[in-house]
Amino acid sequence: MSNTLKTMKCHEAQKLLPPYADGTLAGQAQASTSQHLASCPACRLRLEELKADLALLRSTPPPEPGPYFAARVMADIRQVDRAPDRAWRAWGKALSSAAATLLVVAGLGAGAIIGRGLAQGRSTSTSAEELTVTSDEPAFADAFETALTGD
Amino acid sequence: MNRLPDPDADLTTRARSGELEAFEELVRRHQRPLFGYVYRMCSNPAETEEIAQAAFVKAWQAIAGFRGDSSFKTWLFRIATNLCINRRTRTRPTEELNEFLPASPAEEPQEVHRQRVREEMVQTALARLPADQRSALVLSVYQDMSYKEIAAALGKSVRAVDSLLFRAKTNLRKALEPARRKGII
Repeated sequence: MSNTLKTMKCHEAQKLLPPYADGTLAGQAQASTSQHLASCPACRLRLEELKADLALLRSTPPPEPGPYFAARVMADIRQVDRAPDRAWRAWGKALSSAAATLLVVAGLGAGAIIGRGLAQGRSTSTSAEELTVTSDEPAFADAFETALTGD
Repeated sequence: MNRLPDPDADLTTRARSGELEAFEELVRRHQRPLFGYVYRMCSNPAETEEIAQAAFVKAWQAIAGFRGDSSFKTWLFRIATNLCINRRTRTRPTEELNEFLPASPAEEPQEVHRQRVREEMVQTALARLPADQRSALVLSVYQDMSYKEIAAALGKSVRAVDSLLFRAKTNLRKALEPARRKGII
């Protein structure tokens, strides 16, 4: 293990400095980095600079919102809720649902009518066949009468 | 891995069903962290209030579709991040830090002046970072968010956040180099 620790190079150690500075580095990586830092002043300096940068950030908290910020946000939200385009959107949504319902009803109605039409069409063609047979009847009758009369 | 229950879960559920009072409580809870985050992100104090306000309004408009896959806080910060990035309000990133250091007015106490200089340095250095690195760093340092929470807030993987934070810290070091050379930090 100590051989592994000794072989850590500066560029490898420097890659691990941010999590090392955060204290989120663990196990062998943490041990190797510590070992490297103990014998490398350049990397120690880098670590100190990194810590100083983060400390600088933490020592400068961002500003806070004014006392009426939340009230202004809520006023904005109430205004947006009341805005005409929102009302129109709500109407639009209601209308499109109604239109969709109408379309479904119309579709079902049309389906029923077409279905009935097809059923009727089928019975119409049957009648046509019957008519054809019927239309043959006079010819047959004529021929029968001719045979009887001998014409 | 157990996920901690979202402390805003009850309020979020009520807000989702249209209860404005519940959402108002969420605004009160999150206004300070969100305002601070937007301030550090947008590099333009004048726009901070506008963007933070817009983030809450957007959150209210979208809350019915919020599924609770992440906490309300990370969801809200994601909305704010997108707004900040879309505005592209970064300070001129090529300028040197020392150009932004404010002069000390005669009547300003020394400690107040020092704090103002530090504030300017931080804001300018952060403005130099690419937006994704900046947001990861700000969420980590000022919001104490875990890598997992940052990943949820930025819509990235934990591995990507790890890499973003590494690059952010490296670039921050470079951005603060002029101030370090001058012995300001």
